[in-house]
Amino acid sequence: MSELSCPNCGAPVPIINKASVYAVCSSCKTLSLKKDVNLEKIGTAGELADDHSIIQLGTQGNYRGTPFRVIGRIQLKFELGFWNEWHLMEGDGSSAWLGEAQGSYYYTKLNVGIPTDKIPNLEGDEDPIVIASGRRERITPGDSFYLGENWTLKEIMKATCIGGEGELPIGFQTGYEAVLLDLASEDGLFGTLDYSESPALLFSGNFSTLEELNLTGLRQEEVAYNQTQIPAKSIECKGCGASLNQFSPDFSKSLACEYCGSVMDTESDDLKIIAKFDQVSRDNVLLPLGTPIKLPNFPESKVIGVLRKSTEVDDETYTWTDYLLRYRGGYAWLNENGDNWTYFEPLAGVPKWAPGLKRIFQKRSYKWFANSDSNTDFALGEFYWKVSAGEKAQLEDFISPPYMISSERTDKELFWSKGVFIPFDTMKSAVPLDTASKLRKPEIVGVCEPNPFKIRLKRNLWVAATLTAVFLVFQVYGCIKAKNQIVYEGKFKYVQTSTPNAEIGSSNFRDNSFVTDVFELKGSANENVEIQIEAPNIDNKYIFFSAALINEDTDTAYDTSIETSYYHGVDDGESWSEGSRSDSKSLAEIPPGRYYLRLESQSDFPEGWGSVYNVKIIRDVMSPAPFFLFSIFLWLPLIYTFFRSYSFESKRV
Amino acid sequence: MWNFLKGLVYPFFAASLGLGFFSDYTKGGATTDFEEVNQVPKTVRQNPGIYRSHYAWFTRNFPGGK
Repeated sequence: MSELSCPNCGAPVPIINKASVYAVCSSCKTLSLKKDVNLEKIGTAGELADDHSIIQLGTQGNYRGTPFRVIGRIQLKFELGFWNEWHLMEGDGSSAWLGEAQGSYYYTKLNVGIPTDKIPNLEGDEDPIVIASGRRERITPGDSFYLGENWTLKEIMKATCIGGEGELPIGFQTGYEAVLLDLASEDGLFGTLDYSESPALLFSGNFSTLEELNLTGLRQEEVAYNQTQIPAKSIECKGCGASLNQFSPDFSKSLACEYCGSVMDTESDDLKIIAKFDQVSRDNVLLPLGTPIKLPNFPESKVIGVLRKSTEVDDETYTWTDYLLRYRGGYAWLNENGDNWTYFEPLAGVPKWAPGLKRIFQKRSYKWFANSDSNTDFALGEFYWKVSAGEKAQLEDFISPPYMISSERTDKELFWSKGVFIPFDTMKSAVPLDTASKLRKPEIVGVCEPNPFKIRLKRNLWVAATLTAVFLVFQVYGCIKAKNQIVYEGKFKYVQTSTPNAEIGSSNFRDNSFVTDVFELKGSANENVEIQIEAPNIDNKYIFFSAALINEDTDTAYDTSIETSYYHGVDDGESWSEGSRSDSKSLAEIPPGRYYLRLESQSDFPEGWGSVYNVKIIRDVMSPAPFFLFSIFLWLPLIYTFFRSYSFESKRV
Repeated sequence: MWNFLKGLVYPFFAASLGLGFFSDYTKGGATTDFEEVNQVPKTVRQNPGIYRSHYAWFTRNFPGGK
């Protein structure tokens, strides 16, 4: 480290990095250009605003294995407040930047890999027109650029330089203005096109969390890590004189009075009124300002702002409420829509598009749900930007219950957030009792409410598929194992002896029963017996058999019936047929022994007519019927669950 | 809790079907409904009409026959 003298006041100006070109004197704020071993005054840096940053010159860190030290800073002011670009010297002496705004961090480096002629030019400050590849187009958030990566434009901002400190690789002028385009890639990269120079400079890198930076030597260690809360500030409303609490003075940039709707700029000492909402209504504000929120798996937070928004669809107005939550180290939103609650966190990057109107974020696929416009009807409490009446935005929602991702697009910004559905009971237990008692149980289906039938359907499908596979295995094994032993075969002739269709046992019924020879059934008592009867010549007739398999030794009969009936014809030019010339019955658990079959028949043949039929008795047969029967019963309820699931999805609003 | 219990209805139903299938499988996989009748007359072999094996709804009587 070398130490040079300030050309203005002579105070020592330490130079840590040999590559530093500019330095700001900590005593007199003189901005100097380094020339060999001297400093040459080129201007004066403005007073830095106290933006409650925890980083300071000398802070050290380690980002993804690269150690760094903070050696300089440029402070800028933009619509949302102050923003710091900390100049870092990495372990190998190279330069990097750490952007810091609204508790978010961006680790970037100057990207020198892009040919300067590929970097788009810009015309106009307020309504920038980008000129790329000879084409002039007005840019809006959501537009895409290809600069070594596919970038999506997230934010257009105009920044004013407040001042700087320490060592810097670039010069600056206090009060200079520059257009900056914030970019994000689908791979989660972050980039900035800085139009303070021409052609613009592209800085690219990553979004980073405070934990990932592994910072030491912080300005306010206790604020960053020791959970010390910055106390709330009492403010008198400039519009109506009401006494208001500013719960998060380190974070909020504006405060909307809950009594008169005046919005004050909390960054200005005189609390200038910057907007006014015509209507202020605390009706249906279910979570009052200051309400502590303790949701499982999320940091403890406090409601600091409330926004009531609305949209019009088919001449119908839909309203919802967004509650801004502040916790140490960040912020989140609780959305209340039709008494359903969704917790939203800001999302770094831009989720990828996937075929079928889907977006993919962290390997999860989200289905497109809705596009709408939103209008801010009124606001209460404090916000991290300068909130204004009638703010409009375009919303786009993608769902993958219980999660959803939403984009909110204004003329200047594309903001992505990720939400998770909060069940009513969880929400009730997350707030104090008096607040919980005012929460209403939702009567409509939430946008990203998990569909219980879909979950059930998925699980039931799994159960049914598994069980069907098990059935099949048993069935196949049973078929292989079955003996299929023919124990009796006989050929008989049926001749009608009674009046056709005479009831068995009636007076005009002539008994035609007979018994077969005795046959032996071997095997175990749990084996079955199949009786098959086939009448190959039967034609537009039936023969019904009452069959009894009788054990000769135990005098036990197993009664069943078998019918062979085959009818066919032509009706209206269409041929039809029904029935079968053969039938069989399986009798389960027939003990081994000596058996004979008693048959008694009935038919619609005319007297003296009949048909030949064959009888076959088979021991140990595996029938496919049980498999199909059980499988049908197994899958039937799933049809019901499918329709319930479909019906739930159609009610999602 | 109620939803959780409702979610168990199908698995229980499927399990009972599974047990039914398995039980059926151990009996040889036969689903035919038949009737077991004990102490039928010993003379059926000589006089088949003495035993009317009328299945199910028919009245059974032993004394008949030709």
